Amino acid sequence: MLKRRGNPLWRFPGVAPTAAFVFAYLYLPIFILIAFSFNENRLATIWTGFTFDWYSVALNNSDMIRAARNSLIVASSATFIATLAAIMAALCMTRERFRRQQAVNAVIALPLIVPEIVTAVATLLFFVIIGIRLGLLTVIIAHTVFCIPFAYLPIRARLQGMDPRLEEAASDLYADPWRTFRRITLPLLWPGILSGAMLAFIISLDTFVITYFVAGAGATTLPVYIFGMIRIGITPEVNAVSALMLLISITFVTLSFLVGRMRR
Amino acid sequence: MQATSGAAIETQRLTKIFDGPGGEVRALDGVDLIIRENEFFTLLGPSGCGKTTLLRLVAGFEQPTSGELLLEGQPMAHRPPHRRPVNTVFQSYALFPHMSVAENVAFGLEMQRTPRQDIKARVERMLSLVKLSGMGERRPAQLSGGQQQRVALARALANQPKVLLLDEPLSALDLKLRKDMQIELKRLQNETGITFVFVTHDQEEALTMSDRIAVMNEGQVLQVGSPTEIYEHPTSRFVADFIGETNLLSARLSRRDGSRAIFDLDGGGELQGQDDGGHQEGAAVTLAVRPERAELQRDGPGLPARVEQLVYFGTDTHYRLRLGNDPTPFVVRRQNRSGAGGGFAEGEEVRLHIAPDAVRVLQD
Amino acid sequence: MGGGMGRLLRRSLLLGPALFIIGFFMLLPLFLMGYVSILERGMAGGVQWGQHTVEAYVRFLFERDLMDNLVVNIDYLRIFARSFLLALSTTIIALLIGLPTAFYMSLQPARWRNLLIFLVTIPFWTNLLVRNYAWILLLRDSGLINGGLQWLGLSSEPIRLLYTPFAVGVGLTYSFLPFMILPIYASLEKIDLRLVEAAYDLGASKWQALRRIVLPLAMPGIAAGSILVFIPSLGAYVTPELLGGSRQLMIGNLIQGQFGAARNWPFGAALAFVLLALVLLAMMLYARRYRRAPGQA
Repeated sequence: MLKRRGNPLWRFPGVAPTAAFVFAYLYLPIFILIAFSFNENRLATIWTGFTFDWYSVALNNSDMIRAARNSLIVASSATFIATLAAIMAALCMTRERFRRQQAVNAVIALPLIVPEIVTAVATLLFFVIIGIRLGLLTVIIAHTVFCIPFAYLPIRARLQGMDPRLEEAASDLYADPWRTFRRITLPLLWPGILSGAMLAFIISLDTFVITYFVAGAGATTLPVYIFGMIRIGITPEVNAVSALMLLISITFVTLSFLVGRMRR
Repeated sequence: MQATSGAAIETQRLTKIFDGPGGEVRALDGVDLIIRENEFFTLLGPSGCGKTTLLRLVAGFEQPTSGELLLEGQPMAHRPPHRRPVNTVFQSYALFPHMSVAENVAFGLEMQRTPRQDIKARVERMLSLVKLSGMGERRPAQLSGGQQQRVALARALANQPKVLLLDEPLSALDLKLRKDMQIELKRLQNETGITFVFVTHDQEEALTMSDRIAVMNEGQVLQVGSPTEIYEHPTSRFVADFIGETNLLSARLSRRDGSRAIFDLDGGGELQGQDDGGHQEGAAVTLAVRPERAELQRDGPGLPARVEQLVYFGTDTHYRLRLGNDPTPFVVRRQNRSGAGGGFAEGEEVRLHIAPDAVRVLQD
Repeated sequence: MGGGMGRLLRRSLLLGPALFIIGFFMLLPLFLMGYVSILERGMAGGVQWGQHTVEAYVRFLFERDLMDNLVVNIDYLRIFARSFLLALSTTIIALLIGLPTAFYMSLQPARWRNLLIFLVTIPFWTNLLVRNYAWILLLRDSGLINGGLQWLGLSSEPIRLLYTPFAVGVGLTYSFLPFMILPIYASLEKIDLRLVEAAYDLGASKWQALRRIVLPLAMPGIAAGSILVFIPSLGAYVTPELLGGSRQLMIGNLIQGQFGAARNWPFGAALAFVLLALVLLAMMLYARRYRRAPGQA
């Protein structure tokens, strides 16, 4: 692979500039947003000076703090349940062969395939019709559904990469199934679990459309609150909150990425 | 069925059928086998012959479709692996990557709830047995392939199993290391007195190390015997062909002459062999002759042949001969001894002399 | 270990929670949604149980005039067509800039490649709302792009960028571009370099090698990427809402509206059901050729 670099046979006009353009396209808006969040000027069009004020304004906004707390409650509950379900499903799907396995995979991947707006509509109708009051609980349920495939995929990948002989070796060395799981499978699976849980967590923190539909009054999460703010108008405070959201997500993805690559 | 005394492992009509995508696959087809205590027993065969499946059934990783498996007389067929007194050395070693070498070796003892003090002593003894003293704190990833191999051995032997199962354990090592480990394994077997069941597709490895060999093909055991028996007296075409090089000749039993049998070769000519009494006069048979057991002479008695090609191998030379109108060449191996002289040239007309005791009559 | 029954029990226990959660809270609601779409609309929102009608689907193409006659009304069809066109152009643009980028990435040394993949992944995991909001800062009349153009003297008046189809296209492409790059990269990276060298050796020019060897081998990735961009673009809600304003409605906004101001659940359900059908159709066409769910790409 290294050989390709610098080999004129592999140089095509326009490829490198397009790539440069794409990376600029991907990151320019993010940098602009972060830069503006430090802009002193309320109008946000001209740069007048550096300030942290908008962050303190945002962090002192009690409605926003409440929304952030809701987001954390939802994300941790949904992550916990989704990760647990994903671990169990992944163990079964990678360690056993049975008919209809493809169908099971398709069901687990369903939340990834169905457009979010459709899921949102269906979930809302379901809750209203069976008579569950919209609130934090409904948001947690909807998020758990959505988070399962995100937790499942890294865990399954880790299990598939694991040598099945290791578990056989443990049972060969007198470990019963439970001890094999606890001493061999779980420690080796841990990075996959952590990585899956973190992805589920960010997804839950970020999911807007579904939340917007199924969050009743009092269950406003951070994205729903930000949406409301954006609709009212562009303010430096929105910039600061958005920049914070970006930083949280980026931190989590980076962590998840690093943990996922851990070899142990 | 009755268990045989003195047998470490006994299989009775052991059969394993896998459901493959293309239908059922008979990995093991009614295998009857007795492995004696304290012997170095090898399962030899090409890939897909069922040898690894047999080993995995003994270890308990797979359940037999039918038949019984006895370990020291105890039926085992449906006992889970963690309750069988056997241990396995895996082809890929399967060392636990998140544990140190010492923790790996201690794992089995810990699972059997051996007292901590004893574990420590045993681990040290095992590491010194495989010449890895002082390496206990390292991680498997920090060891060379040969060292990992030794850890895998120590980990299995630490439990003093009745039977040690080895699944092509040397296949990942380079040639030099493999030769060393062959001797090492033999030494360990002698020192521990444990029954070794060794799986390999390498016939040379099997011949050098084993007390007895079972040659397998297509889920069946074709022949069981000592290395000499297997090499010198193959009973089937497959065994003769798989173990070492063999010239196979189609012939017809023409007549008997005392203890001798005279065969008419299909390609023309006559050959004398020992009479095994198993065939009617006039019956079609296959004869096997090892390349080193045939001799070439310039003239005199023997079958007329022509040297088609000679291939130089350093220690010896292989002559590929055309024999009558037989389309397959007949190979003769001659050692290149100094001063022996008398080499033959390509195109030369020669006489092929085969002693009666070098001719094997195959069963099929 | 046990027999067949034990294994069945173990399997159900392990798969149970995931299948129950997704089955009960997603699959069942989807069927329910299909049912709601053929119910009579309630007087003050909601539905009238047991009153079946295809009114919601009729409404899609017709409206009733004062005399209660059906008159063709292409407003909704126009929104569907606009959504389709926007999703299609988004997919094409993402392919045009994503393919060279993926190609560039696959030619880098291993260390760089991993970093670049990571850089492409990050925007995907950051908040969609926030990322679209960032484009408001860039595209609005007093935004950075117009500011830059005026500063350069290229325009004196602000050019209307925000609340145009252009803005929606830029936002959609920005939102889903990683979905295009990553699968294409994955299939390009797998290509055996020696195949291309063999093509050169057999007298192919650079462009011929690219067209005859690289592109066909990258086709599964291109197909997966296209479907992964097209599907979410078609059902987008956030981007048209924030960057398209009230005039650039897409299916997503239309559906949302039925549960907000319009209070017409059966119609909203019917619209969502049609969208779902379109998506499943696209998936089936894809699966028939490539036989793998994009979730596994």
